[in-house]
Amino acid sequence: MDDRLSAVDQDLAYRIKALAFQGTYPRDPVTVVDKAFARPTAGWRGRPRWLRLPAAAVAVVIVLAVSVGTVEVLTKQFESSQLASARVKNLDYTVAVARSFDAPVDALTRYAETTIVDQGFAFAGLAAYSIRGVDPSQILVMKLAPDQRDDAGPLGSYILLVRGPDGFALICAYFDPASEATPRVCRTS
Amino acid sequence: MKALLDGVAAGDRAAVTQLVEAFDQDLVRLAFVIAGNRELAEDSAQKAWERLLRKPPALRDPGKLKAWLLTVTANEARQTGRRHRRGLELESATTPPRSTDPEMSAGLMDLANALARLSADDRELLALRFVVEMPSADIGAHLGMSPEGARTRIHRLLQRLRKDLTDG
Repeated sequence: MDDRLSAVDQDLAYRIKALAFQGTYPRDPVTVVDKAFARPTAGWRGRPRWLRLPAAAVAVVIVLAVSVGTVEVLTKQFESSQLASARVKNLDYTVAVARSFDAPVDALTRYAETTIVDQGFAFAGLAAYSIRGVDPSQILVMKLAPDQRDDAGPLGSYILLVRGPDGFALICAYFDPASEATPRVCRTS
Repeated sequence: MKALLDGVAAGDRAAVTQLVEAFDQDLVRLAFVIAGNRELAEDSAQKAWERLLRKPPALRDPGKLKAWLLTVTANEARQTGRRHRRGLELESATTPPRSTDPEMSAGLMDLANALARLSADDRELLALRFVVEMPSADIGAHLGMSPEGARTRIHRLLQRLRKDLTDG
């Protein structure tokens, strides 16, 4: 057995590589080095040893599938490292942060009720909303509780549930095109 | 490579720059597949460089420096991914500006979502093999498994991804 792949797997391998190449940009080596030299001792955040226990030993596996009405939200936490996904009307959506997304109340229509139990977000309600003019099988939103943030800053007012190929491009009208937090595809420059 | 490592230990900026030029892109791409987010990926790679400066590894084989950097970066990407645990930041993973082929962009979006449903360890394995292009035998040594074990796991992951993409 060697590393040769079938044609189908070769294609998939190529696409994994393409995704990594398209999702990142070459960095300026001088900038990288300058930053590294600027923080040679503070950059590496040591953690208490007890936090380094093998994840398997402390992982809590929570598979929560709650069906209320027509919506089922599935939260998976395997070592907390699996990315969150949601199932709505039997379709799987990826949970996505969209910090600068904003939509007027009348652009949102209640799509289905759901129950969310800790996905790392605090929600303002139990409803998933469709967005005016956007196919709900592609994108839905959920309202976040106020003033939530993570290491990168405020999370904004909504969390997106995204499915399908067009991603944020479908909802550029609801982003501030001048904001740095706006997806590149929706920015003016 | 030993000369470069000696240079790093001596705080030689030119030596570090040479290493960054050689390896940084692989580090960022590996972290991107693991963490699902460009900013987190760059942070993870940056921390690997900072750690290299702070405490250069004592490697019997200086040729293993890249493997060391990959390990540090992957660990950081896993940890930052856990801290954020926010789902795929699609603006990084799926924005199509660099692909002019709509079908390609659509396929990558689906693939990003399918990858997001794998564990971080599985994403690391696939990234090492297909992004960093590390042979299975080296991956086995790198991750502490046999070459056959690495190949089998990669094969199963590809099968799972294919099924996910087909069913999706």
